[in-house]
Amino acid sequence: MISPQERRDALYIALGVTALIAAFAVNVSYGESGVGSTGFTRAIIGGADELTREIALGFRAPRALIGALAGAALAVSGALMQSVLRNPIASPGILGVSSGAFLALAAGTILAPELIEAAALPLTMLGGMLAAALVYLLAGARRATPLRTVLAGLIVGLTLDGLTDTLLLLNENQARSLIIWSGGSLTQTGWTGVRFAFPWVIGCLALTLVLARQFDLAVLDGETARALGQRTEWLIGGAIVIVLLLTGVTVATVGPVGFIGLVAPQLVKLAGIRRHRILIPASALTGATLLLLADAVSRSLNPITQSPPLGAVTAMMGAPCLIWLAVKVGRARGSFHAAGSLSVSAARLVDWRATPVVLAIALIAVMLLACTLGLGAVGPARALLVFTGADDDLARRIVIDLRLPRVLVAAWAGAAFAVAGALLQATLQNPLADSSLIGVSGGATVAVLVLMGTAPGAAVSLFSLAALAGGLAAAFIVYSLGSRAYFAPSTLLLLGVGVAALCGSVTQILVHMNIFTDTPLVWLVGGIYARSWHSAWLLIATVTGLIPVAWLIGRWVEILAFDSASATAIGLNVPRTRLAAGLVAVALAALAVSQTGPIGYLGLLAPHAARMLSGPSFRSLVISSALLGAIGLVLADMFGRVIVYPSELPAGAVMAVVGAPYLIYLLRRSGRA
Amino acid sequence: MSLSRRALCAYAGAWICASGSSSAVEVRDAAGLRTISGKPRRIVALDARHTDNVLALGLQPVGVAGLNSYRKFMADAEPPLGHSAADVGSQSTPNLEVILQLHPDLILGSIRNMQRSRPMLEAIAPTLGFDPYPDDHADLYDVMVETFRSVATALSREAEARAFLDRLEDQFSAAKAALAASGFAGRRVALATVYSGPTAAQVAIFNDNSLPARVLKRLGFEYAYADERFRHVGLHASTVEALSDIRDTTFLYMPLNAQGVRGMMEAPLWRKLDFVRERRLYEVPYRVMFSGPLTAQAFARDLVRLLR
Repeated sequence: MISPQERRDALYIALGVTALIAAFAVNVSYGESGVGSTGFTRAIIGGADELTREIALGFRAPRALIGALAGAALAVSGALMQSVLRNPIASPGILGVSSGAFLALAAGTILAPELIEAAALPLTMLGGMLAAALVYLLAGARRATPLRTVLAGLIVGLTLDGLTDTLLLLNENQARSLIIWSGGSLTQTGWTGVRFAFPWVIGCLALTLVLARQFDLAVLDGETARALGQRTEWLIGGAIVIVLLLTGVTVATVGPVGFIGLVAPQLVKLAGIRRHRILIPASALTGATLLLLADAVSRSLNPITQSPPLGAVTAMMGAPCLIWLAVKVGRARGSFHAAGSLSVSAARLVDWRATPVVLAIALIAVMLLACTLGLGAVGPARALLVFTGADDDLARRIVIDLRLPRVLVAAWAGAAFAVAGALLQATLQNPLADSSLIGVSGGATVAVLVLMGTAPGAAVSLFSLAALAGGLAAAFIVYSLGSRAYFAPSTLLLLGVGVAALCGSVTQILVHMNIFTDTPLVWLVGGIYARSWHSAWLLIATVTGLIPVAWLIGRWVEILAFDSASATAIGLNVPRTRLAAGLVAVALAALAVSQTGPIGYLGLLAPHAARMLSGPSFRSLVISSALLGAIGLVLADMFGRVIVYPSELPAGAVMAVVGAPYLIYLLRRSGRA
Repeated sequence: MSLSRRALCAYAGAWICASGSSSAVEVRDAAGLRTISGKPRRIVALDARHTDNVLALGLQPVGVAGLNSYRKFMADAEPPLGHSAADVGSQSTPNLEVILQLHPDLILGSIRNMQRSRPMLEAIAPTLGFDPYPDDHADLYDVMVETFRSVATALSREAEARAFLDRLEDQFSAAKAALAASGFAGRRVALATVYSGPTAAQVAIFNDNSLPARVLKRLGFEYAYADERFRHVGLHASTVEALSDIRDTTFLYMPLNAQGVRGMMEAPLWRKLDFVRERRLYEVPYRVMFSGPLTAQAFARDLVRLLR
């Protein structure tokens, strides 16, 4: 007697196999040459000329097969991550594998091309695995909790991305093909990729099926599982290793492709399938089908316009799913909720009442240093003399017209990013929050790229205006969708990630479309290049007005640290406070992004560093964050200006590389506390 | 606003002191009509196109962005880039301090790289920004010539420009005759740049409205690749599979790196392509083909040397 569940399982698997075959058939009919589905069929059956057969069997077939393997691998990784971390939005991307793989590929292509030619796939996979190992160590190895793993993954990802961006910026010729790779693509020349991936993927899938019963237990909380005889740590470790292998192979063969790991297991669970013995194969089938369809969609646009990159298409498919999840799931249990787990309650470094004064003096000193430091004809001595009124026209023009506005923009934008980060971390109750998580950077970048594509000769002020409008628009979408949930932190976060992913997808498409005519990288990695006094005055006027507002509402924002029931009991209007804090944060971040472009580390890093130097009140945190953020960005811009003279590195890339050791230190310190 | 006022003053001024040569000229760049006064001789070229333009007019730029790359790919340019040119940094973020220190009186660049820096550059010296991809149906060779002429007007070297273009046409005619003598008249060709991508060899096929395609046509060939989708940039970046639709054609390829060529030739499809089977393919030295008149000249020289 077959139970209803077993019938449903069998039905899903049967449907899955049919869908996969159909997706396969659709996928192979698209390509760079005129061979369509009839050509492919004839190539298999017989009766096609040699060229058509070669295209069908040498290009289309391996491409479709790698798509199926990669889709299956990503989906199963996602399912495992979600089970083991007990979180519906866990995905393999947080482990930093893509960042490590991309860095290995970029470094190899630029510095050791013969090595890449010989062994591109193993090297890329190795890069991904090393990044994941770094994440593991950073998260505290044995003592890693889900939150620390996510944090560590974020740091490693940001840092490696910063290093990669630096490499790409210094090698403009090679950058193009590498940027194209980073969009993801199933394109294969021959069977090497399939031969490489097949044993890993099939092996890991088999291993996962063998451990299926164990994973069923892992979904229960740790104590119950252990009581039932499971060795939880070993299982989690094993699951992570499987996920790493699957993700590593996938990234090496098709590049970074996201959202399949999120969407496919969710679809399977929607059908009611829970047990891993069915969940795993069902996810594999669903993932494979989705990826093949996404690739077909991307290629079907070929007659009209250039194919969008695969990663962009999967993000377009997956981001709405994420947004839907945000609205449906509401409070996500588990990993992303611990407030302030990086806060160090142990001894402060400095008597915090003196901190603002010390920081302010440091800021002035650093600003002076940045104005005077430089290579070329006007060195530090000549530059310093400008401030004493020396009659040196060249030095005066360099210091007053070129360097001083940069330093001022860096200082005020740094302060803006930092305070925005502090506000968002408080209202979203998440130590990882910064303005990029609510879509400000993403929206700004999309707006700038759209303008660049439609009106390349537009004035500078128009670009800044577009960035401001884009940033505000994206945040507006997030907050208006989140208003229905009273701006609950977890909902806002998920919405923000979804909107950011959609923006990222559009960004990728626009970058690909303009890759030969424009240099989009300059806009994607934030920096202070060529900022004039207009930008400086704009930021000084607006940010100096907004930071006191943040300070004023600080007293209420502090109370948001409690859960909403307690906060309301004290008398706080929780939704209104969240909205107010959000508005100030968004305004600050959007203004800063409009002048510098996205600078990702600052809003995340400065508040945590400030916490160590400031008192318990949120108000003192605002002041310290602002000052530290300003110091950080001024220093980063200064380094970027001199380190590869006469070229320059954008401040965003420098921040990512230089900020990492600091955040690592914070992480290890809080781990010991 | 102030531009048209300036132009009006320039017109008025030129009309009032109407004797012979006025020292202000009008040039149209991508942002509109500009007035350049005097004869600028300290020129900063912010990309390879404009370095080509300045050298072809018989002048030497005082500052070049992407200097090392230019020296590498245009080492055999006639006239070559001298040693006095200073490196002003990368093409996307040229160093404003270095440019200021050179005391230039004209800055030339592509408007698509000036989106952030134009006001700051204008504050240093009059800046002309040209659009290398003005619209979807442009003949990119004509765009190159028009930009060259505009730069010549700005530098008051129009005679030299005419002389250069005449020499170029003579060179093309001579080359066409030489190639016809070797039996290449009317032959169908297609040109592509080959480089190794991470997972597959990339083949970037030039479209028939691109600069090298037009040069090939002037040399008596028929260009065999025309794709409406890629007329804007004149290039279709694809894989070896796209080559299978090219029939009855001689294939010319420029290797960006050796790995790319090896990757392309290892694809099983490669051996089955028409032009491979009939051995109608030639390797041409790599040049950055999104460039100016000197590059067109050098490209024609390379072809004659190769195919004769």
